[in-house]
Amino acid sequence: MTVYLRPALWLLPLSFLGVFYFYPLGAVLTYSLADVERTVSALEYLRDSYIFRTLTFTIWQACLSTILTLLVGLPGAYLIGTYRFRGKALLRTLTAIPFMMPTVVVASGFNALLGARGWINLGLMRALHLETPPLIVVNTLYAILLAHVFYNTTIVMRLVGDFWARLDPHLTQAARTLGATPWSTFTRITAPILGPAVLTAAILVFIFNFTSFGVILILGGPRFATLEVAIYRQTLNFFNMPLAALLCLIQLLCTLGLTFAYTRMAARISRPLRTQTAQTTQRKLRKWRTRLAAWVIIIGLLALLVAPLGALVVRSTFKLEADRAERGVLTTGFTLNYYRELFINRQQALFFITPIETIGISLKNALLTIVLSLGLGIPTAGMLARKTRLARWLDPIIMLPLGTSAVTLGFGFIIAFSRPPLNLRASPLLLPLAHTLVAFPFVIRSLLPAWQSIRPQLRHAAAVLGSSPARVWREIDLPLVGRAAIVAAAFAFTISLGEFGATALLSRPEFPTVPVAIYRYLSQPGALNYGQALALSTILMIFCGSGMLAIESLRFGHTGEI
Amino acid sequence: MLEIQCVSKSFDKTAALSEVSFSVAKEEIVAILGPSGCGKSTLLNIIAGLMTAEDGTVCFDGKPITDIPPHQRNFGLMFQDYALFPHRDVFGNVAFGLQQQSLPLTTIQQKVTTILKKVGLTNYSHRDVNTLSGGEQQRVALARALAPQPRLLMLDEPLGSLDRPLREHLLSELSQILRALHQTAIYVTHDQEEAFTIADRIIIMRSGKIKQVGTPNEIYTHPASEYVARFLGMTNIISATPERQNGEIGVQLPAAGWHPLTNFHKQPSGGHAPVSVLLRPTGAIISPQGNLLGKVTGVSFRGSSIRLQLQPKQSPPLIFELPTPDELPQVGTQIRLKLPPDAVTWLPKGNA
Repeated sequence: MTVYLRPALWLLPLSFLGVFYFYPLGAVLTYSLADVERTVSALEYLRDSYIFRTLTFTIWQACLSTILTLLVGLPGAYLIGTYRFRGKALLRTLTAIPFMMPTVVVASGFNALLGARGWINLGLMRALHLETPPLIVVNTLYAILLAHVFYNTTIVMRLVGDFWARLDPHLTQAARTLGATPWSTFTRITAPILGPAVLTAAILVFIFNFTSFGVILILGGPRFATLEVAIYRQTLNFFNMPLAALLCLIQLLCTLGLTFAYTRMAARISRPLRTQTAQTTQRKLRKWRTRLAAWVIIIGLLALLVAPLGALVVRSTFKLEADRAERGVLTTGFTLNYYRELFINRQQALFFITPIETIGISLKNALLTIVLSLGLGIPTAGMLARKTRLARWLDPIIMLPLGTSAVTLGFGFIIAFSRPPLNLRASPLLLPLAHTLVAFPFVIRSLLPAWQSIRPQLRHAAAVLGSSPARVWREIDLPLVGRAAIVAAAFAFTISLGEFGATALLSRPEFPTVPVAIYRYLSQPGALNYGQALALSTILMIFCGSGMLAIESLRFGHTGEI
Repeated sequence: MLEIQCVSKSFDKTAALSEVSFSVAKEEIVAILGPSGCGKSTLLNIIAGLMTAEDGTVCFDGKPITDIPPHQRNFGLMFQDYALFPHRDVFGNVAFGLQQQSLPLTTIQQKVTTILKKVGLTNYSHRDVNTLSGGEQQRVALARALAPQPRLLMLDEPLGSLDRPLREHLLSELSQILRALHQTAIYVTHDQEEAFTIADRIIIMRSGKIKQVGTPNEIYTHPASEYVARFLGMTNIISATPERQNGEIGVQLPAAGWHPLTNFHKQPSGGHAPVSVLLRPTGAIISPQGNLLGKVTGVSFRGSSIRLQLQPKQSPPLIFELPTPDELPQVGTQIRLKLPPDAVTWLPKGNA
């Protein structure tokens, strides 16, 4: 390719985003604003209306969740930011697992732990001889808050913890020699310097809570609706497309504003403070008091972050209640029955296929997503890495899908692609395309550092030695980007497998993905349905867990960015 | 004033400091000179109270201060990387120590203004410290450390991250400021020029041990060991056999014969075993009556002096700084040098 052709390469990502991002969003926009009169009356109706209540609940739960996440995450950030101890890498990895877990898996996990059929309730019922579950958490605000804390604690721990770890210890030492007590050193030096990092983490957590969908839908139950859930219900349950479009518009404005705030803050904390490598800044746990505190923090984190997933796995292989057929005689214990049932299609009305086939459908989607997102992502990241003026301009545009909620994207797809000129309703590519959009920012962000690490001298050296530009690309760029490409593929794979927001709106009844199947099982009564939901969740968790481990072990330069 | 006695400290079983003892008198500037990793910074951290020693005592004005936390010691510490608080402006940084003493705002403002003037940063009060140049940051760090009038100021490689010309300029300025304030100070560096310029006394350290303590002149003329001599860049070290002539102790130099030792009061023990001696590079002249015969292997012209590389028989090459003669000696020719009587110093073996 020649120099003149290079800008033409931009056409690839730009046309993709143009057709599959801007066109659907434009369709939402025109749809919601098409009938101005109706929109105005809707806006007048806004106060104490459905929209207003939904918006205030969305903000309210996001605020609460963010505050709770900070309360749980900051001690963890302190621990990994200032101390060196055995098992720290393991703790980092373990606490990162929830972040990449699909919402349906997390919902199943909390259900298996705290739900009416969960470990704690069934245990209490048996121990205290109760007729009904004593602990009502699922379908209350508490379940939503717990799941949000579960999800986002790792963001606080990593963003703040890594920033803390790179803080020059000389700053606090200087304060101490200048007469500051340990407390005033913390309040006047450490806290103000950490402030922007905490705020950045808080905004990011708030964005995730604000756009929370699966957690609210499954764990919150019918009484709660965030903007996301409202869009979903208005579209699929009430077919009120104009209202859904208006909700999308509000959601879009909010998330774009929040994303803008986040990127501004994130740029501020990446300002080159004089930072140190973590090696020099971290102390050992010496005093018994710090040891005790560390143990409390670690056990607390593991209890919160690992317990629901552990409960899920174990519960999926344990029979704890009577089946409908065996009233009275209750045999409990280890069983693989829930997994066996996945191969049988008992309820023709619920599915057209056996549950295990949903895994095939999900894997096919995931593979297509990998192909699409790497095919687009590798050249796009390569262009971005060159840091031309054009690249600096286009970078935020390419990251825009990050600031758009999955449900909004799904709704945009419904509006835009179920009519000519581009009718994709029946296309097997519809879901992979939506997943590619969701995964695209992550794919780009994992490829970019690798591209940027290739020094131009390497390319020049190869060129001087007689390689054609295409050959330079093949011999220098591709091998060096290879590892990052695996990480990017793992992101695409994990995101596609677990994606629920857009999928819930777009998946066709005859081709349900795994998350959709889990959601349907969870909303059906009966111990067998419950067990199958948990078994499918466990399988999904194993797939996503492997993807995440691949990301954790292969990514490079992973300080600061999530 | 400051007394360090037998202080030891180790990290992961490797000794960072072993039995270090020295003292600093009031208004004295002591330089601790040594290569990186010799324990200098650990020593400062212990004096400042940021680390605790495993053994030994640190006393100030006769009282042990081991149990006093760093913020109550009123010592100043200036870091190599300055450690300026990035979220505070120049004023905020310099005022920090005074604010900890809960002084009234007007007093603080007055003191900050005075000290900023002293370090040449008038009108810098509201500048963002992240935008200052290296030299300016260094001055802010100095002002911040000096503002609370510390009983003892410690400077940890304060010029280490600056380039050479700026370093020389700031060094003399720093020296003037410290002298004008009659500041008691410990100056840690790996650069001998800095140590020799600023200090009343120099402590040479290596691998956690003190190798020599003395005034700059004492150390320069009588390095206590071969290690110290080599560390100070002295390369004319040869092995020679001690011998008494006319009641005076001297050594037999290869290709030069007997020469008296300057530090004869410390008589080399062990009879006639060869010892290391140092030949001072300055003070010799080219003379046909000279006793040191050797082949010229290199000459470089330095204006009023020349640097001559000489290869005597059975001896490592030697380097001399000579006053520029009328005619430069030619490379490859044999010449004779007349050494001054104090040219040879005995270097005790020690454990270096």
